[in-house]
Amino acid sequence: MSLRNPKQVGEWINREKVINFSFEGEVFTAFEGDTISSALWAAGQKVLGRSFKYHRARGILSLANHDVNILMTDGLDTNIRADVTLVKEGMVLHVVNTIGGVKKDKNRIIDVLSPFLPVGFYYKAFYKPRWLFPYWERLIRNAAGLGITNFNFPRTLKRKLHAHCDVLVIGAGPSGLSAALAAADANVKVIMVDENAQLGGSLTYDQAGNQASTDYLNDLVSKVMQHTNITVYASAYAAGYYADHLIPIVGADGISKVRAKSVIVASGAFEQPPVFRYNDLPGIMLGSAAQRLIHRYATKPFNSGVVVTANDYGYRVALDLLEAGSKVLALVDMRTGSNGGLHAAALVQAGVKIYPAHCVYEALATSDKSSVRAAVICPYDEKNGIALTDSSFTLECDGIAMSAGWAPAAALLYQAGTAMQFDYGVQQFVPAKLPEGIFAAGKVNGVFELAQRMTDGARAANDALRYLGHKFEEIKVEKYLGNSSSQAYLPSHPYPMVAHPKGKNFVDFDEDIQIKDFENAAKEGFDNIELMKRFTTVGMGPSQGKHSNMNAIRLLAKIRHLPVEKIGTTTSRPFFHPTPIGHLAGRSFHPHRHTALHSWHAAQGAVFTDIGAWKRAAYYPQAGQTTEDTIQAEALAVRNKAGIIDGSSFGKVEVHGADAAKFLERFFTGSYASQKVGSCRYLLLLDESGVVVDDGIASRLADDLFYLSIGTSNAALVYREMQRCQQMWQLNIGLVNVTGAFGAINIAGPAAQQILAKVTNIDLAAIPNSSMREALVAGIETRVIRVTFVSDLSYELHMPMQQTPTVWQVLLDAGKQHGIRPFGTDAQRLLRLEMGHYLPGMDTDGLTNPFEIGADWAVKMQKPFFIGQRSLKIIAKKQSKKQLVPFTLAESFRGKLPLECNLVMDGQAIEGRVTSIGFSQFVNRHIGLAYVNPAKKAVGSSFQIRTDNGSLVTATVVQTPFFKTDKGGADAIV
Amino acid sequence: MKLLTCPVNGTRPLSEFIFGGEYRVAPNPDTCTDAEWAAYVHNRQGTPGDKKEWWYHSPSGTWFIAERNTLTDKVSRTYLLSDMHAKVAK
Amino acid sequence: MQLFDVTDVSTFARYGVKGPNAEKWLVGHGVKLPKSANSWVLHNNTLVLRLGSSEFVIEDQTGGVACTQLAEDSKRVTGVYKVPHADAAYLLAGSHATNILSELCELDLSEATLVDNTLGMTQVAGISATLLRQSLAGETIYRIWCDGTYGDYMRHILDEMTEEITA
Repeated sequence: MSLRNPKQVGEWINREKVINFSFEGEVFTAFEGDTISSALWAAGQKVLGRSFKYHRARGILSLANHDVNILMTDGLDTNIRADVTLVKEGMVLHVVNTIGGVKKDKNRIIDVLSPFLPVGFYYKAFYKPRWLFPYWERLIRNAAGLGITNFNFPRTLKRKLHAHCDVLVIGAGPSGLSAALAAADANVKVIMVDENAQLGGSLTYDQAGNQASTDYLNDLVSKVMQHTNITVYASAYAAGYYADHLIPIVGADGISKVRAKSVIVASGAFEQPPVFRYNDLPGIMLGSAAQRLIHRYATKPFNSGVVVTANDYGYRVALDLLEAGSKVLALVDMRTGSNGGLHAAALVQAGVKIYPAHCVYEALATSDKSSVRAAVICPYDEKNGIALTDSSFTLECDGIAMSAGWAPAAALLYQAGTAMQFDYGVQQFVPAKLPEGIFAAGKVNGVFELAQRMTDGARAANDALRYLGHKFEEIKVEKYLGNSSSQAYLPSHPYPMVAHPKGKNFVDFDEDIQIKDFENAAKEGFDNIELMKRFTTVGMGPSQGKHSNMNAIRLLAKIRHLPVEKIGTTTSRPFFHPTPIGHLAGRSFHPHRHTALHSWHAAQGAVFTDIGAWKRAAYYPQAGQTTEDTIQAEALAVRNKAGIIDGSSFGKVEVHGADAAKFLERFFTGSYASQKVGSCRYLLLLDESGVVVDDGIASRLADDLFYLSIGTSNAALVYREMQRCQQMWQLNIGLVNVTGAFGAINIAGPAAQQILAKVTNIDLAAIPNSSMREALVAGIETRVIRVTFVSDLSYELHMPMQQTPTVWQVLLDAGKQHGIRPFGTDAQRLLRLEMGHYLPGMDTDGLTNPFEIGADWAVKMQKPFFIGQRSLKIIAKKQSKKQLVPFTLAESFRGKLPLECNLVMDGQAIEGRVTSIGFSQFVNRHIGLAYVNPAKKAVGSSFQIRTDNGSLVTATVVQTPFFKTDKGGADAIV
Repeated sequence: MKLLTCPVNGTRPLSEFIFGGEYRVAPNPDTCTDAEWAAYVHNRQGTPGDKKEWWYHSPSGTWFIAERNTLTDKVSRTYLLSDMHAKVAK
Repeated sequence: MQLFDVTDVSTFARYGVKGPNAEKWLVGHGVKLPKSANSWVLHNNTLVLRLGSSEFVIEDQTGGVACTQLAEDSKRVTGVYKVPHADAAYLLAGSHATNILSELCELDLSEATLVDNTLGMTQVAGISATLLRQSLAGETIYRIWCDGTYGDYMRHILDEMTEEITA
C-alpha cells in the first residue's frame, strides 16, 4: 500500500528516474533522490530494522541521520544509515544484526526476556566464574554488534584537502543562510557547510501546512548559491573543532580541513521524543521526521494517526500532516494551560480534536509487533509526569507523530570550549560565554521563531565581522523570549515523560534504555551524569545521545530533586558523527630520502633499511647465500680485499667564517683552534648535563672553513642545535647544511689505496690517517678523508650528490681485479664493532657521559667553555658506576645467545647491559660491547650476561680492535 | 591543530614547528656552585603560567622565542632572540 | 587547458649563497634581487628567490646565464657563503593544480594570501619545501623546490595524483 503523495512543490525526489533495489530479498522501486528509508516507507514497509539490545522492530524515528536502529549492508559495504543514504540502482540491502531477517529476527526473544536483563546486568552476571567468561563473551558478541566487517572492502582513496576562509558557517538553516549572506556581503570569504543534500534546514520541511515559505527559502538559497564569496559544502558535516578554528568537513569523497578565521555555529537542534510506553513502535516518529517525509519525499507518515506534543511545534506538524492527506485523529497536548497558539484554531477548523493536559499513556502494537495499532490516551498530571489512567480511551491508528522539544546541536560549541548554561526561558542549554572567534546563531543559541532566527544569523555575522576587524556598529538584540504570540510558549518541555508500571518507555533508542533503568542506576549510586552514562550506556550508541541525552539529564534531575543545570552534560568529543577510517587515513605520506645511488642499489637487489628518513642498503643478497652469510662475506671483503659503501646519508655541515674554530670549540668537546688545515679531528657533542648526544669528524679545509660529517640518524638534530647556539652566541660564522647536496662514498680495506690511486690525481701514500685532501677522483672535485671507522685503511670521498654514481662505478671498475665488493649497513655495523667503535644512541643512552665510554681523551676539560663541560666537572668528582668494555664469548660457546639489552649481572645485582653483540666470522667469535662495573673493566676480567631464557653466559673483556691490525688479515687475538 | 607565528615566515600550522624547550638563562658556569648548576640542568619550573619557549620553524630553519601561557596555551607574542632585549626593555 | 601537468625542472642550474654580505656580493655581480624577505623576481630568464632576508637561490631558466657566471667566481669572500644545491624542482600547471596542491600543503594558496612575488617556505607532502605561485602566459602555475634526496618521493606523489586526475 503506497503512502506516496502526488508530485508537490519543493520535493527532493525526481519522479522521472525510477530506481530498482531489493530489501531483505524483496524487490522495491524508488525515485531518484529518495533515501533508503523514504523509499521503503513510501512502499508501505514499516519494519526497517531491529534495535541493538532487545531486537525490537523499529521504523523511522528522525529521518535526520540518527535512525541508528536502521543500519543496512549492501554487498561489501555495511552500517549504511538508511534514513539519510540515497538509494541507488541495484542495491541489495539487508538489515544488520538480525538472525533470519528483519521480520523474523530470532533474537527478538531477547525482548521477551528483557525483564530479566536489568540495567548493569552484563556487568554483574558474567564476571564470575572467570573461566566461563570466554563462553559468555562469544555468546554476547554474536548477539550484539552491528554489521560484519568485510575485509575485502576495496581501499578507495579519500582525499584530505586544506581550505581557508574568513567565516565558516556551520548549518544552512535560516539563521545560517542569513549569517552567510550578511558576512559575504561584507566581502569576506565564506564557507558554508550542511549535512543535507539541499540547503534550507527546517525551511525545507517545517511549513505548518503553508507552502508560502517555499518561495522565501528558494529566494534565500539562490542568493547564497550565486554569491561569489560563498563556497557551499552540502551533504557534508563539520566533524569536530580543533584548536585555532580548524574544522574538518567530512563529505562522501573525503575531508576538507577548513582553517577559519571565525566560525558561526548555526547547527540547529535535535528534536527530542516524549517518553511513553512503546514509543518505539514502527509508525511512531518525531514530528520533524513526519514533516521531512511529507515535504522532501512526498510521503505520508501514516494514513490515520495521532499527534502527541509537549510544545507548540506539534501543532505545526499536525497542520503539515493534514496538508499531506494524513488523517489526524487527535492532537494530544501534554501541557496544562497551553493551547498551541495561532495554529490551534486552524486545527480545530479542520476538525482535529485537541486534548490539552492529556498524554499518550502507551502505544499498542499489532499482533506481529510490526507496527503501532492504537494509542491509549488519558489525562496527564504534568507536574508529576503521571498519567491519570482512570479515564483513558483508545484510538485505533497506524501512526503517532511526537514532539516534546529540542536539544541544541552544540557539540562543536562544547569542543571549542564554550561555557553553556541552562536557560529556563527556552528550557535549553545555550551558550553563555563563547571562545574568541566563535559565534552561535539560531536554535543552538536558543532562538526558535523564524524571523528571529534570521535576525540572529545577521547579528552573528556582524559579530564575526567585527571580530575580524571590520568597522560595523554592533547589532544589539534583546534576549529572544520565545514566540511573541504566546506567553506560555516554551520550545521544549521540562519533563515530557510518562511513567508506566510495565516500562518499555524508551529514553534511548540506540541502546533500549527505559525510565526504570535510570532509577535503578541512581539507586545503585551511579547518580552523576557521567557515571550514569557509563552504567546505563545512555548516549553511548551510534547516535551518541543526540535524541536521548537531554531526556536523561531531565530524568536524573528529577530523580535527584535537583535543577537541570546542577546535573550538567556529558563531555562532547570529536568526531561529532562516525567518520570512516578510510576518510581519516587519506593519502599515504611516508616521506623518505634516496641517495643518488638508490637506483643502483635497487638494481642490485639490495635490501633496504630505514635510517631516519633515509632508505639505506642493508645488504646485497646473493643467490644461494643466507642473509647472515651475505653480511659476513661483505664484511670479510673489507677485511681481506676492499669494500665500498654509499654513505651519502651522513650529515654534512660546513662551518664558515673567522670564528669557525671558536664555534666548534664551544659546541663540541675537542680542540679545533690548533687543528691544521688538511687534518681531521673527532667531534663529540654533549648536552648541558654532560650526556653524549652524537659524534663525527671535522675536516679543516681552510682557517675559516670546517667540513663536518655526522652520523645519519642525528644529523638534523645536531644541525638544529648548531643553529640555536649560533642564535645565542652570535659568532662571526655561517652554517651551511650540505647533507642533501653532497654525497659520500667510503672505500675501505687493504686494497682501498691501490684502487683509489688508479682514479685520483693525488699521492694517497702521503695522506696520513685522520687527514683530508681536496682532489680529483674520476675527474670530479672530491674531498678525500682518511678515517678508520670500519677499517684501518679507508677513505671517505665527499662530492656533489649527482656525481656519486659516476665515481661509484669508476671505483667498482677499478677495484674489480682486487675483489672489491659493495657492502651495506649491516656489514658496516659489524665492521665498526670489530674495530671496537661505539655508536652514540646504540652504545650510549640518555644518561651516558663520555668517561663511561672511554672518550676521556676527546674531552678537553681545560678549554674555557663547551656544552656539558660544567656538568662533567661535577661528574668527574664522582665515582663512576659503569664502563663500556669490549668483550668476546668463548670460542667454544654454544647455547642461548645474549642479545642487545640483556643485563650484565653480579649475582642478583644488575651491573650493566649489552649494547652491541654480533658474530664476526673474521674474528671467529661473538664480539660485543657492554657496560660493566668499572672494577671489571681490565682486559682479561670476566662478567656474566643473563640471556632471555635466564641462563648466564660468561664474557671476557678484551682489547680493541678485536683482531690484529696488520694489513692482510690476521688471526684473532683474545 | 594549533597555529604558531614565525617572526620571519608568518603564521603556520604547528606541524611546521619543533619545540625547543623553555628558554632559560644558565648561571655563570665559572662562578656558580655545583648545586646551582645541577639545579639549572636538572630542574624545571612546572608551574603553569607565562613562559618563554624556544621554537624552530623547520622549513626555513628559524629559531625564535614564543611567549606562551602554559595554562591557557595562548601565545602572546613571538620574536627572534636578537629582538628579545629590545622587547623586554619596552 | 590540461587538468594537471608536472614538469620536472630539477636540472635547471642553481646557485645558492647566504651570509651578511651575500646581497652586496650578488648586486656586485649584476644580479637583480627581490627587495623583501621571502619574495622572488624573474629577470632575464633568471629566477632569484630570497629565502628569509639573507639567503638567495638563483635559478637559470631556459636561456638564463647568471648561475654559470656566478660559478666562475670561486673566490671566497668574508660573509658570503656558497650554498650548494641539489634540489628537486617541479612546475605544476593545469586547472586542477590548486586543488592538488591544497591536498599536499596547508598554506592558503589564494591570491589574497600568497601574494604575487612572495614565496613560502613550508611543508609540501610532509617535507620542507619552497613554494611560489606565478602567472605564466595568463595561466596560474606553481613552482616547488625540495631537497633532491626527496625527489623520488615527491615525484611519486605527483605522478600518483596526475594519474588519478587524468584517469
